[in-house]
Amino acid sequence: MNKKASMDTILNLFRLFFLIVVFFSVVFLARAFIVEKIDLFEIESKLLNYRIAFSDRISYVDSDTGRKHIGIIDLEKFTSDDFAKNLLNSIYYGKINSEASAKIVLRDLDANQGYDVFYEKFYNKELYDEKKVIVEAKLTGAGAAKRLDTGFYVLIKDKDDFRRGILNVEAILPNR
Amino acid sequence: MLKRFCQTAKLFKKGSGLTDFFSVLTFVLVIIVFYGIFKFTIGGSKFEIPQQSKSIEDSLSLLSILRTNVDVDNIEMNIAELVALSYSDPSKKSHLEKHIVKIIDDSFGASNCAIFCIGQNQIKGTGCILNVGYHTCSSDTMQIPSYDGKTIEVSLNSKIEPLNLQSAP
Repeated sequence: MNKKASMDTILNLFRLFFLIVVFFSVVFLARAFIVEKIDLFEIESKLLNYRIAFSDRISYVDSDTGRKHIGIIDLEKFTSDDFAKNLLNSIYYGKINSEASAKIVLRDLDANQGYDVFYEKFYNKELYDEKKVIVEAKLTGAGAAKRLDTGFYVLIKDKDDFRRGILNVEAILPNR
Repeated sequence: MLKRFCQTAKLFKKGSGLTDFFSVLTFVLVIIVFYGIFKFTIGGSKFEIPQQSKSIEDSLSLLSILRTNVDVDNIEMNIAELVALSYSDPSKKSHLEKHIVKIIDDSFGASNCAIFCIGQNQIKGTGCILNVGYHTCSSDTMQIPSYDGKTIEVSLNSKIEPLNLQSAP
């Protein structure tokens, strides 16, 4: 009788073990197909960088035909005092923009002044300054932010003169 | 109302109170165990939308390269014209290579490998390592008309990594 009871216990232990294995297999299989996080940072930040680089607030627009010349940066527009305001209105993320910010640096490769000439502008400077500290501190998680650089080889139109340049857009987007 | 419900339930109750208690306890434990397993087990994939936008950067840079004015034997022309000219006059190829390498090095840095393709001919920046294989020319091409009516396909592939080729044993 005792022997039969002990055999039953061993069998029950096997059954229990098998049940646990099946149970965990089901759980792990189910979890393998559950998408918990969709990371949109790359695509969102690239999109912002392209919106800035392709914007008519930055590109040369032929006044006669209205044609926008992508890749030719109008220096007069870029250095104007209203540049940041115009760009903020053009790339609209709501009245209070807490979604996106960027630093835009235009480097003149043919300045011929013996040193590199930079023109630095911002898109949503307040958010950029706030989040830049967090990015440099390498904090992660909600409330933190990430940075993505994109560089384009462009031409700079300075009155009737065309010079070579690099347009670098550094997007900083808060984490969600 | 609640009292009456309990009385009615008691009338229909067949098992003992202890069985009911253990059933409820087991049910609660199962819920807690499931919650714990789903919460703390490793798993759940992270989905990243792949970055498919490198060709946009390269296309914009290529457009600007083709528009860049250069000086060829005291004649000012843009790179697109020089490409067409060098297609019919091979003596201009050295000018073309010199100017393109300079533009590539200035724009992508001498440490990054960028390849400018004219048809199947590759012009590599100084960032490319000699005798090392690289990916072929980009499939995103722009077409330039040559002086004999043909079309010349040009493309740009920037910041590319060398192929990791291993010799067979």
